[in-house]
Amino acid sequence: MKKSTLTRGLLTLAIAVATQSAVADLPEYQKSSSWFTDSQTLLQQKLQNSREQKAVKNVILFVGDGMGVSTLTAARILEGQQQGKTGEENFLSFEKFPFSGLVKTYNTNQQTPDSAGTMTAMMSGVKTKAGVINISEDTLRADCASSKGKEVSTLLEMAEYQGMATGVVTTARITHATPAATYAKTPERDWEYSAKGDCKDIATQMIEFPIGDGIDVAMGGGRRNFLPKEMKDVEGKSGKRTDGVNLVETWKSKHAQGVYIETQAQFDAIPAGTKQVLGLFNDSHMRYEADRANDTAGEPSLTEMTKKALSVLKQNDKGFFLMVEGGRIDHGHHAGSAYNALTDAIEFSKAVKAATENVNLDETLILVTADHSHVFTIAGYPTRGNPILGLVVSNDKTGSAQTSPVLADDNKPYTAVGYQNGLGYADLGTTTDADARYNSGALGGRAVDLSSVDTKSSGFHQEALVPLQDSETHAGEDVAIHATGASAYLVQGDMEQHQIFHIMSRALGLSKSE
Amino acid sequence: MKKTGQILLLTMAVTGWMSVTQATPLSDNECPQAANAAFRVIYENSQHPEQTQVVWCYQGDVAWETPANGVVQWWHREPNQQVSMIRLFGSEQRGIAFESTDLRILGKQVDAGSLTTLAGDGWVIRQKDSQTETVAARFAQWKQWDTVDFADIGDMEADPFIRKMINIGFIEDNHVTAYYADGQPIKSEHGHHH
Repeated sequence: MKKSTLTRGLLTLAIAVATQSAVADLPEYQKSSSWFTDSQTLLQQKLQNSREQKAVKNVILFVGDGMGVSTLTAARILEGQQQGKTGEENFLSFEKFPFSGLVKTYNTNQQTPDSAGTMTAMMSGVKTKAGVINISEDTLRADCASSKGKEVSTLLEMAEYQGMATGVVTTARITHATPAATYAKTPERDWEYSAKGDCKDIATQMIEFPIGDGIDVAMGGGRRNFLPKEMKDVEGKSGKRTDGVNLVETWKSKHAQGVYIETQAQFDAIPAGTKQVLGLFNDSHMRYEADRANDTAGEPSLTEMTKKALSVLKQNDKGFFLMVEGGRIDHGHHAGSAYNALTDAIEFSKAVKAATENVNLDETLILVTADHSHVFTIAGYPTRGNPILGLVVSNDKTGSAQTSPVLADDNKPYTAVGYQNGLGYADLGTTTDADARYNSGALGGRAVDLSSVDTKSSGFHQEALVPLQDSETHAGEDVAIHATGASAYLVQGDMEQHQIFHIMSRALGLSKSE
Repeated sequence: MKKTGQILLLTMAVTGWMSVTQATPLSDNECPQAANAAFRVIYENSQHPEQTQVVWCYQGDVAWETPANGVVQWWHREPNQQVSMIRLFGSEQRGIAFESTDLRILGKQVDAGSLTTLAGDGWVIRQKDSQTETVAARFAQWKQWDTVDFADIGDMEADPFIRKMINIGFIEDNHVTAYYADGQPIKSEHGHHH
C-alpha cells in the first residue's frame, strides 16, 4: 500500500471514530435525520477522493457560456422541479464532481469580461482584452497591424503538435468567440467571415488550421461564415463570405476521408470509424434546446454532439483534447429569457453527464466552468419548492407556505428570478398594458402587474432593474469550476482564469516546467 | 420632422398583444411564395400626406419601409412556416436579424398572412403597382446590407452601429413600426389598440 493511501485510510478511520463518538451523544431524531446521514455519507465520499497525480491521456473542457453561479442554482432547481421534486436538493451532473473552485474572470481592460478575453485566458494561460482572441493584451482591439507578432498559442494547438486528436463542439457559431479561442488568433472577435488588413477571418483560420492533421471534430453552427454570399445553404440561407471562397469545399478537399454534415439525418449516419468530422448545422447559432424541434433540417443536441465527438476522438491512441460549449445559455440571458438560459444549462449538464459515461476517468480529466456570469439573481424568500420561474410565494410566521404570492411595497407580486439590467418585462401571452412600452423600448423596474401573467412560460422575460435597450449584460463576479477524473485535485480554491490552461497542460504533460 | 402627434400608430398584427382595428386591407392581402409575386403599395397619411409608408411584397417576403428615416422591417417566411424578420437601417445600410425564436421571446410573433395589412386610422393608398423588376431590385439592394443577429447584440456593445441604434431607440421598441427621422417612435394620439 502506498504511504499516501495508508495515511488517507488512517485519517478516514480517525475521523470516523471521532465522529461516531461525538455523534453518539446527539439526540436520535437528529442522528437519524436524512439531512444528517446524507451529509455524513457525502463527507465519507470526499475522503475517498484521489489526490494522486495520474498520467492524463485526455482532457475535456466544458464551458457554459455565461453560466454564473446563480444560473447553476436556478438550473438545478428547474431540473429537479421538472422531475417532480421540490428542486433545491437536486444537483446538476457536474455539481457532484469531487473537486471545485471559484474562478476570477476579469479581462485585462474590463472588470466585467467578455467571452473572447476569458476564453483566451483558459486556452492560452494569459489574460487579454475584451473582444481579442489569442493576441496578447498589448494589442489594440480591431487593429490588425498592432496584433502582429503578439499571437499566443493555445492548448488545442499544443495537443495537435503532440499528435493528439482535437475537437470543438458548440451550440453557438463555431466561429463565435468561445470556440474560436481554441484555434484562432484575431484582434477582433467579430471578424468571423471577413477581416481587416492582412489578418485572416476566423472561419478561414479554422479551415486552414496548420498544425498536425487539423481539428479532428468541429461541430456547431455558423455555416454562413464558410459559404460565399451568393450561395444558399441547405436551409435556404445565404452565405456571408464576400471573397467568393467556399470553405466547406476547401475542408472537403483537405480531408478526403472526413465527413461533412449539415443535418440531423447526416449526423445520425456518420459511419463508424470516421476520424474527422465537420458539422455545421445552422447558418448562425444552433437553436436553443427548447426550440430545437423547430429546426428546418434538424439539429443534434449538445449531448448527442458530445457523445459523437468522443466516439471519434477516442480512436486516437495518443489521447484527445475536446472543448464543449453550451453557447446559448449566454444568449438566453442577454435576451432576458431565464427559461431559455436555464433549459440550455440543463442540456449542458446532460452533455457533461454523457461525457463522464463515455470516457475512462482514470485517464481523463473533465473540467466544467463558465467564461463569465450574468446579472441574473434569485431573490425574495420563496418557500421551499416554489417554482423557480414563478412568482414568489413566501412562508407565514409559522414557516409554512402561504397560499398566494407575496406582494412588494407597490402591491404587485414579483418573480423569484430576475435581472439587474436589460430589456425588462415583456409578455408574449395575453393582452398587457402596451402603453408602458411605447415610451421606452426597455422597461426597467416594476412596469406591470404580473398577477395574471404566466411567468413560467417559455416566452416570458423577467423584470430588470436598469433598462438597457440592447440587452442584459454580463456580470463581474466569479464563476464556478468543477472537476473530475485524473488529476482533478488540481482544481480547488479561488483561481485566476488563466490557471485553467496550466491545469490542463500540466495534466497532459504538455508543459515540462509544470 | 415635427412631432405633431397627429400621426397614427402603425402596428403589425402581432399575435397576443395587439389586435388590429380599422385595417386597410389590400385587395390581395397575401404575399404568395411564387416567383412572380411582386407588388408595392405606397400609403400616405390622410392628414399629413408628406408622411408615407411603403409595403413591399416579393416572392412571399414582405417589407415595410418608412421612407422618412429609411427603416425597413423585412419579414421572411421560413420553410417551416415560422417567420423571421430583419430590421434594416437605411442610414447605415445595416440591419439586425431576428430569428423566429427571437421574435417569440420578444413578443413579436406575427401572423404571416396579415403582414400586407397596414393597420391604423387615416392611412390611404396613394399608389399601387406590380413592377416586378422594381420590387426585385429593392429587395436585392437590401440583401446586400450587412446584418447582425439579435442574439449577438449583447456581445457587441463596442460596435458603433449598435451603440447608435441603442441611443436612438431602435433596438427594442417592439410595438412601433413607424419612426420620425430622428429615430423616435411615431405615437398615436388615439392611444393604442388592445
